[in-house]
Amino acid sequence: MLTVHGSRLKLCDGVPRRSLLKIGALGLGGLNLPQLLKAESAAGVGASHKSVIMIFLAGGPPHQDMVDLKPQAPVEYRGEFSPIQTNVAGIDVCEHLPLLAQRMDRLAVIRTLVGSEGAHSAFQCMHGHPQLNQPPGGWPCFAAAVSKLQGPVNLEVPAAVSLQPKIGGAFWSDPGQGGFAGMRHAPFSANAPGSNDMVLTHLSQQTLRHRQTLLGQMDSLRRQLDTPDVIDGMDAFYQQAFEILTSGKLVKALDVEMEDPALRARYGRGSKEPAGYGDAGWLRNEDFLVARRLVEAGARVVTLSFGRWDWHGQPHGTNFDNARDHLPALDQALSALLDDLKERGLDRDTSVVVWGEFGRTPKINNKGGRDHWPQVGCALLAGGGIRTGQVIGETNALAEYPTKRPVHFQEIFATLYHNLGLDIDRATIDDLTGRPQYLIDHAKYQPLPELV
Amino acid sequence: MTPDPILTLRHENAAYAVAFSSDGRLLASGSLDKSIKIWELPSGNEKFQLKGHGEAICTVVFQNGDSTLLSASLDKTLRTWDLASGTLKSTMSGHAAYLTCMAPSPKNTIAVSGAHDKDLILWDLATARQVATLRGHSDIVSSVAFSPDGKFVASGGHDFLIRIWDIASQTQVREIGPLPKPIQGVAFSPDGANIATAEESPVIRLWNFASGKLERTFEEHKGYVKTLAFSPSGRHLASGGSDSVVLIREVSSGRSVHILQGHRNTIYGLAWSSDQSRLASAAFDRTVCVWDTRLGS
Repeated sequence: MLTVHGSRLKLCDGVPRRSLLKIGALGLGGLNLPQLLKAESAAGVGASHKSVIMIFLAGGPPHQDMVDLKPQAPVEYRGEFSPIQTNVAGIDVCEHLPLLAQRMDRLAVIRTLVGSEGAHSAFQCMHGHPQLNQPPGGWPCFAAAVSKLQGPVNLEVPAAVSLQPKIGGAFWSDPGQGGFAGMRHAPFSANAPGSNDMVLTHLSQQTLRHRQTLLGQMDSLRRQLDTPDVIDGMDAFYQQAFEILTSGKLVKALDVEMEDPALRARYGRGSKEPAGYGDAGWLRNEDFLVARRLVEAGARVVTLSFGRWDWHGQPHGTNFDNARDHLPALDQALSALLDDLKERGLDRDTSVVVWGEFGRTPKINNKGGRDHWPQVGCALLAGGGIRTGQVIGETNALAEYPTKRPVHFQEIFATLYHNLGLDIDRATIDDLTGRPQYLIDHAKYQPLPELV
Repeated sequence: MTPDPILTLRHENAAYAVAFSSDGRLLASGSLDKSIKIWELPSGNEKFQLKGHGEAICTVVFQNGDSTLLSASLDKTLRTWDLASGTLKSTMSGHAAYLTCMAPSPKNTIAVSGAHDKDLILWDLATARQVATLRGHSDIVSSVAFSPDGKFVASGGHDFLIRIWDIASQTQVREIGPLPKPIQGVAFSPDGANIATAEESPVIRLWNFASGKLERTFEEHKGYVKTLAFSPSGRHLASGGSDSVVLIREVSSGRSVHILQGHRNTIYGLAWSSDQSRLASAAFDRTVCVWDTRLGS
């Protein structure tokens, strides 16, 4: 259990200054309140707290074995699973998603996700842009852009939080970058090495205040230098680090031990061991619960990585072995999250998106696996006020390519920005050359009209 | 009859391999989590773990009066472990791709391994050195078994063939097939009279080893069969696969005498205790189950 100790503790000056700096280096949302007020006012959001929980299925989930089953396809295509009816007439999903099937009225299924770069990378799902040919400073990730434009809801919890653990495959553990929005808007990586530094076990709040003053003096000195926006605002950086350390609100949000055991059981526990071959994130259901707690505490965007979905087949289990392992876990955790958000009245303000880099090959390979298939993939959306209980898009008989309504990654991002109250036709962030950059290619991609 | 498992033991990832010690007091299991766990029986308490393999463990075998464990891993190595100290004794490497199957000879003097490099390698366990490479398969080697007299090895491959190798001459002497699907499992009956084979289908085939003729087929599984194990007496054949069910059938009648349901994913490994009272199954659901096979018998 994580605990921030208050002044009742004995004073002990055993922690070097670099510990506090290390907290800052984890990445914290800025305090750009004027921008926040301006953006929210422009969008008519007012003081409400809109948020997004993004669940990244690292490796590329098999669309045809989850939400676009083709039972009439030849055996080398259709796979081992059968479709089951959902609570929305005419929509079927995989037999290993029975709980979500009963919540289909609260989900929107995208069966025709296109625009994948085809690379094993969290970048596209986290940033919404291709990795190639980025503007100067690099694209900020979705969470960082939201942090930049809307700022934190409160001083104790960063606007952008990532639950991605550090894992072997660095391309999957990328929590998203601050890019030209600035390092201070990069997601706070709650499960990164060093995150235990949030615990003040040997430092009193009084000592911490003295150090904050010292840091403030250093920051004032540094501000006299000519520094670009990317590293500017360290005062805000330290200010929020201080607020986080002293309030304990973030630490409490991250601590599922404080949650009702019955509710924890509904989510399931999962494991903190790397999933699959050992080079990917964990299959930890409790991250879904932590995400809800973070949103409730004030986070605007929470991202998490769930499992390893890159199922090429033997000798690491067939696509279907792995699906029987991962799908029930996703089914339980996501269903619990949807129920929990609804029961707390957070569902209309909190958008949930579930997706990966791409889909998987329609034809099963000779190792019982499915390989990469950037031509089409799938996504699940819920909450945030969107119209649910529907499927968008249709693929051909073998789930190879869209035949109706292809949906681009950026259309999903446009929808999420819309749900957060950001106007993608107006909101911009300056890159390092000072050129304003739109959040997405808004001339081509708009919020999905079927959903908003 | 569908008894519950008497023990359900857990790994952090899929369980691929399982073996009983000769006295039935220990169980070893190997997993995609790269660990080998040694369990005490009948309690099911974890005694210790053997760590060092860099990839999933595909086979574990007790040896030398249960003082040694022989393991094989996708990391292309075989390793021997001293069970008194829990330390690594030797490492054998030679394959060029994932090592997927291994079997020791009946006298535990040599072992054979098969791999994604399409090769079989014979190993001298006393010296931990490679004796020979057996080449012939044109695709992944998925399963190997020694004949009870130690003179032959049967290997199954994704080339749809079962190849029979003479150990003395280190040559292929016969082949069975091609079968309709890639081979997943091979097992010799304890009397050496039969070979059972599993392919990527629900069909189990029982072959006469001497003649190479198909004697009978069993088709009761609802998914493909991944693993086979004859009971020490040879009266029963256990099978498991993608339907998550372990079937124990009487070989003579072909009748299933036990349907063991408890796993939730594909079964990858099976092992009988030497007194035949227990069967252990390792599955992709991250569990190893121990079953009382005397129930209803």
